[in-house]
Order: sequence, then C-alpha cells, then structure tokens
Amino acid sequence: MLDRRNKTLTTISILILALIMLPLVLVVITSFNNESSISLPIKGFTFSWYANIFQEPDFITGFETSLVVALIASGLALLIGIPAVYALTRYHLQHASWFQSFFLSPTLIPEIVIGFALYQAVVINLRTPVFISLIIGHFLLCLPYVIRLITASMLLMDSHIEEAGWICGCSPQKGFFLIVLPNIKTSIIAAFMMCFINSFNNIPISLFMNGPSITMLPPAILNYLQNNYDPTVSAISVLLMVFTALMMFLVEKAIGIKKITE
Amino acid sequence: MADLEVQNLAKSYDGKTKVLKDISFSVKNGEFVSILGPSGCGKTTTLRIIAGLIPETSGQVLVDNKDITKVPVYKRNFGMVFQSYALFPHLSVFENVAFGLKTRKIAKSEIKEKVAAMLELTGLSDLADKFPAQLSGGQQQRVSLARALIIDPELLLMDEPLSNLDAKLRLKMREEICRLQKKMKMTVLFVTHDQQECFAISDKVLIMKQGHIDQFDTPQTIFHHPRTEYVARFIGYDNFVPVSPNSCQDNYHVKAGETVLTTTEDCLNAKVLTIRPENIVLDLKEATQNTFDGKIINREYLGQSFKYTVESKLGEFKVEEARQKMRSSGDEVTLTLPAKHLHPLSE
Amino acid sequence: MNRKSAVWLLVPAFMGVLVFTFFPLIEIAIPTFQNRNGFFLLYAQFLKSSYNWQVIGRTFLIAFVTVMIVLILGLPISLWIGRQKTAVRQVLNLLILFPMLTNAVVRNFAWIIILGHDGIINKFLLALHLIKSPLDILYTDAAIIIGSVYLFLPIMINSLVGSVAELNVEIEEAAAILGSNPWHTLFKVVIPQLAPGILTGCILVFAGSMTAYTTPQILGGNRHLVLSTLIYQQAMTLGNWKNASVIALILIIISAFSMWIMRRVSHHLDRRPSNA
Repeated sequence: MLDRRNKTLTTISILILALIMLPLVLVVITSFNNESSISLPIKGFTFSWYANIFQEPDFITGFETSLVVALIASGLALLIGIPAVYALTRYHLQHASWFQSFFLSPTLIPEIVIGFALYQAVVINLRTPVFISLIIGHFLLCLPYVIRLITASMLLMDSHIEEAGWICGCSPQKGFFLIVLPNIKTSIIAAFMMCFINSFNNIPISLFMNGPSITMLPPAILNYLQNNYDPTVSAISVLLMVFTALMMFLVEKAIGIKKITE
Repeated sequence: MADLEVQNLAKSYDGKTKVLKDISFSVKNGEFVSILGPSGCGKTTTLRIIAGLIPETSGQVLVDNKDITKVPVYKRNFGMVFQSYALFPHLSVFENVAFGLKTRKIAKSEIKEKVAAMLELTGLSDLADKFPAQLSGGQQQRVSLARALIIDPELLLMDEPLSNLDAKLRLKMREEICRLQKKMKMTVLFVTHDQQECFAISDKVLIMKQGHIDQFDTPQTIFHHPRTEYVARFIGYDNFVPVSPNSCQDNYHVKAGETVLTTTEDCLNAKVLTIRPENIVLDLKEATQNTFDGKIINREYLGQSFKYTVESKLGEFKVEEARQKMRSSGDEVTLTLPAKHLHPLSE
Repeated sequence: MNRKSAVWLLVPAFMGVLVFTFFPLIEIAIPTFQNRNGFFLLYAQFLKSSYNWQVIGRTFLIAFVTVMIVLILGLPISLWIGRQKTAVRQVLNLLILFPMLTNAVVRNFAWIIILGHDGIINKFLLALHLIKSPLDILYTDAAIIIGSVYLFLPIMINSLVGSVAELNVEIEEAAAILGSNPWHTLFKVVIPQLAPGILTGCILVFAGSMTAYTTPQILGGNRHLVLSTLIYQQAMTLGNWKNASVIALILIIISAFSMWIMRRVSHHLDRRPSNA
C-alpha cells in the first residue's frame, strides 16, 4: 500500500526532503568561509563575515525599517480587518460574500504591480511620504491573511456564546471584547504572525519605494548581492534563517505552529 | 464461492505482544460465519489478514486447499464490505460497482451488462449516476455490497457493515444480506460486536477473546451451551454462581458455599454455574432442589416482562418474569434454579 | 448593534482596498490609453515586438514547467508525510514550513552557490572531468525554473499534506481487494480524490511563479527577463513609466485569465456534487 512503510515512497520522499533542506545548509556552511568568495568546500573557518554585516549601514537601518513597517502594517491590518470580519460573519449583511472576495482581491494583483502602482499613484502623484506608502503597501499584503484566518475561526466559534454574554448583561461592545476576542485569540496571533513574516520578507512591494530615503532589509540584501559577491550575504542569510526559526518557535510556543498553515 | 481454512494464525505488531494467538477455523462453501467479540479482541485483525490487507506473523490461509497466505491482496479474488463503506467518492454508483470488473480488464459491453444486473438485484438501478455523497447510509451500504459481489468473489468479508446504520435500517439490511447470501450461495465471514445481529444471520459463530477463539459453534449450541464464562456473559447469561470444583462425590452436584446445587450436566470441574434471567423461577411451590430465599431490591419494566434484581445468600440474581402481577422492592421471594438450565462452566 | 451600524465596520477595510489597490491601478491605466493615434496604441506597440513576445512566452513557460515539476515532486512526499504518525508528521511539517517562511532572497541565493560558474555542480562535474569548462547554468531559464520550484514546492506540499491526511485509507483497501495494484490505485483512486487539492495548489503555484519578481531577478540575470522583471526594468532603469504600466496591466490580465481558466478546468474536472 501507499503508506509510510512503502519503501519506494520513503526513498523518494527523503531525497526530496534533502533537496529542500540542503541548499539552506550550504548557505550556512559558506557563511564561515575565510576566503572572500562564496564557494564550497570552504578553506577555513571565520566569523568575520558576521562582523561585516554590522559594517553595512543598509543592513542595520534596513532591518529596523523592515521590522517597524511589518509591525505597523500587521497591527493595522488586524485593527481594520477584525471588525470587518466580525460584521461579515455575524450580521448577515447583503452581499457579504462579495465583500469577502473584495477584501481578498489584493492577492489577485501581482505584488510587483501593487508596488509599482502605489509608487506612481501615492508617492509620485499624491506626494505621500515614502514611509506611509510602504505601510499602505504592506497593509494590502497583510489584510487578506487577517480576513482569511479570522473568518475561519469566527465561523467555527459558536455564536450562541456571544448571545449568552448579552443575556448575562454584557453590552454588544463589551461582549465583543470580553467574549469574541478571547475566543479568536489564537487566530489573531496566527494572523499577526503570518502578516509579520510575509511583510518582513516581502520584496516586490518594497522594491519601488526602496531608495536613498528609506531602506528595507530584503531589497538591501538583493542590492548587495548584485554589487558584491562575498560571504556577507551568506552570513546575513543565516541570521535571517535564525530569525525565521525564532519566529516559528514563538508561534509554536504561543499557539502551535499548525494554526498558521490552516 | 469456496471453502476457507485458517491455520494457526498469529499476529504481533511489535514482536512482543500477540494480538492474535494461534487462530484456526474453517468455513465451508456457502456458510455464513460471524466473528463476534468486543473491540480489541482481534476480530478485525483476523479479517484483514484473511483479506491480505495486513501480513500475518505466522500461520496460513487456505482457499479450496490452496495456500494463499503470500498472494497480494489485489490478486486474491475476495469481496469486502467496510464499516465506512469506503466508496470511491470521485466515482458514480455505476463506476463504483464497475471498478472491480475494470481492474480485471473485462470488455466494456460485458461490464455494462453485469453492473446493470447487479444494480437491479440490489435495487440501485435508479441511482446509477449518483455520487456517494448524494446517497443515504443504507444506499451506500447497498453500493458497497454490490461492488463486492460483482466480481463473483470466492469469499465475502464484512467488517461491521451495519454499525453505521440506525436500528430500523440495520434490521432491514440484515434481512437483505441474508436473502442475497442464500440466493447466491455465498461463503461469508462477518465481523460484528452485536450478539443479536450475528446470531440472527449466521450458520456458525466464532467468539473471540483477547486474540484467541473461545467458542466456535452454531448459534443454538452457543446459546444453550456456552463453553466459558466470557461467552456466557456475552450472550446474556447475567447470573453467575461461583462454586468449589470437586466439592461433591458425584458429577451432578456441586457446592456453592454451604448450598448444594444440582445440575443435569457434568459439573465435576465447574468453577461457575450460570443461568439466564428468564430461566429462574420465583415462588415455585413444588420446588425440591436448587431453591432458596431472596429479597427483591430493584425492578425494571421491559414491556413483555419485568426484570428484578434479587438479593440472596448466593449473591444477587437477575430474574426476568413474564407475568402481569408486579412485585415490589422489599418483597420476600423464593428462587428456584431449574437444574436443566443451570450450566456448569470450567473457565 | 443593528445591521446598519454593522456596515460601518466594513468601511475602513473597504476604503483601504478601494483607495490603495483599485484607484492606483486605474491611475496607471488611464495614461496608457491617452494617445492621439489610438486607444490601444501602446498595447499594439508592445505586442508588435517579438522580444516582448519572447518575454511573455518565457513567463508562461517558467510558470508551466514549475507547476509540473512542483507537482511531480510534491505529490509523493505529501503522500508520505500525510501518512506518518502525528508526532513525525509535525516534525516534517516544521521542516517544510521553515523554507516557506524563510526570505526568498535567501532561498534564491542558495541556488547561486549551487548553480554558479564556481558553484557546486560545476566543480563536481569538472572534478570528474565530465566537462572541460564550467557550464552556464546560472542566468538561464532553467535556473529560474529551479529557483521557482524551490520557492513553491513547500507551498504545494503544505497544501497537499492536509488533504492526504484526510483520505480514508479503507477506500484504497477496497480498491486493492477489488483487484487494483498499488500503481493503479495511485492513479485511479488516490490522485482523483486529491484532485481538488492538487488543482488549488497548481493554481497557487502557477499564479505565484508567473508573477514572482525575486527569483527571475536573482537567478535569471538581465538577459532572461520575465514580465515582472521587465516592469521594473522599464520603470526604474529606463524610466519609461507608461510602458511599465502597459506591461503591468498585461501581467494582471494574463495572470487573472490563467487563474480563471484553471478554475474553470478544475471545476470541470471535479465531478463530485459540491453541495450534497
């Protein structure tokens, strides 16, 4: 049978798994090379490329900006997304499914186009500060995650418990904070994590607004990679992997990692 | 259809604990045999080894005296009905039933004919183009049966096929399976945990306990002569009187505490005597043996009869009495255990 | 709260998407149609160039081949992961999730180390004397495809493992008893049941690899442009904003159209009644 004891299937799967993990392992190895080229096998061992990261101001400020933008955009998406989902799932509004699709529609537009269009319309034509435009772009990236994850858990939640709250004397506003929010807490955390990770990693939207005034980390690495070819890129890649692992660990501790892929 | 023989079948998943220990039995052509037991007794494992779905640890499975133990499942010519029905959700009723014929590379025209006939036989003709998700439980059950039967299997295996149906439908399907079995002279191996169900439809019943066979007999024999306390409990013998083996000189008397009880069966080695609740008689005037006093402590109304719990020096007894006069808790009664209904059990 | 006031909760999200997604698109679209010599002039000009057709063709080709490879690699490993015991499955899920959440630059950069002139593959082949001079693997369509496969494989696996875990194994056993060998069961019973999940995964991967920017940028170089890198080049390198807008709109249309076609096909293939 095609189960986990099937030898052919196991062999193929482990090979594919190796194919998935190996490239990342190679990056880790090259980051310790004491030569100034990225090559394997490495000749000697050094930490100097990690030190070199901190010599690149673009990486430092880029990290800060990416962090701030991701945090603000994720928070904003939750703040705007949760009430919308609440209204859509609880109040049997007309055209509810149309609104649902409309809120998810930014995913249908290629990210590079969103970045390009925002840059033209908001930065150039409206003369909005680049930072604000970045937040807007990343907010559009985040909103669909919030809509999807929160809707799923609102639909799973028994609507009677909210009514029970009203009968116990809660006003609808109070009930929302005391009953609804605590019950969708895990999916709020999940949505926030998905928003944060995807915003932090995003390139296409940030790309057009990345410039002398503001640097984001991923485009900064992309830039560095195109102009230099030394293990500094490997080193910062390793740091980003550690960052990802740390995020995954936090999610696992908080709500169980499974929640963010559902 | 064919004869089935199982020899010394054993199964262990981890190499240490045996879920099946030395199972041997045979099923004759056209026989309907049920395997009865609680969950975890190994009945489904036995069925799945016979089907070829899981490998045995040791032992053989023979069909018409040919050893098929190493034949892969898809090369055995069996039919099986699963508890979940396991219908192919992506195929219509017609395609589900035709599946086994297609794997056998049978001509399209013949498939069409055979499937149509089978759908007719199982009363599914109107549903041919429906998908499993559109069918009721009973209809799915029929499709599952039709799909198993169409390949003209040497042996039909059924794994708790009725347990997902409601009580009324279960009776109906039970009759239908019986009718088809007789009509097609099928050899059937039927796994269930429902005693009533299996006694109603089987030629023989195999009762399993913790990986071995406790009794393999006709339903009548099992009903009247359970071999072990386990079997007796399973088929509704509610009363068990512990006795001391070899406590009397002859083979038809045995001591329970200080009371001497008489039986019509050899009770020399008996550890326990058992009797069904409906066989105990209350307040029998002409009683000469196996009679003692008791007090009613509980009453249940069963419709046709009352079931009393009676406290006595030999412990509590369940007594079923089919008479209109209602007794009440606290009533003093005399219990009589007729010797011919009192069965000695040695294990 | 009544339904009327509930509508107000939708307003911020609605305005956000409308003002920042659709207005900017309209704003970049309008100038592309404002020509003295015809409404669609810029589009006609774009589509006249054989170079641009090459780019469109490459965009399609990469997306198509990527989907195929991702599917072929993703299916067996998803079957395998989906059928592990829960504890093992959780660990494997983490291993799949990790690359998925790691920055795309990092994941593409890893393939420079492997595919480059000085990369592992070339070094290996040179050491074995199979080749005399390094092969040009990096900065080719093949490199973009490899990078895209690497980027999207975890997504496919992630979306398939769930559907695999939900399969009723008894259905495969039923097929086996009816005389179907494992290979036949895979194609006639397992894959058809997974079809909805497979098609959803394919649509995700197709749309994703068609519009991806990072991978073709890093692994394709300047001479192997796809539509998304062409937009950036036109806008930022050449400063031709109108042309970039034209390409952006073409990319939207092409990707939306492909997704629509794939949805239609998947709807057609999934014969099961949706609301039974």
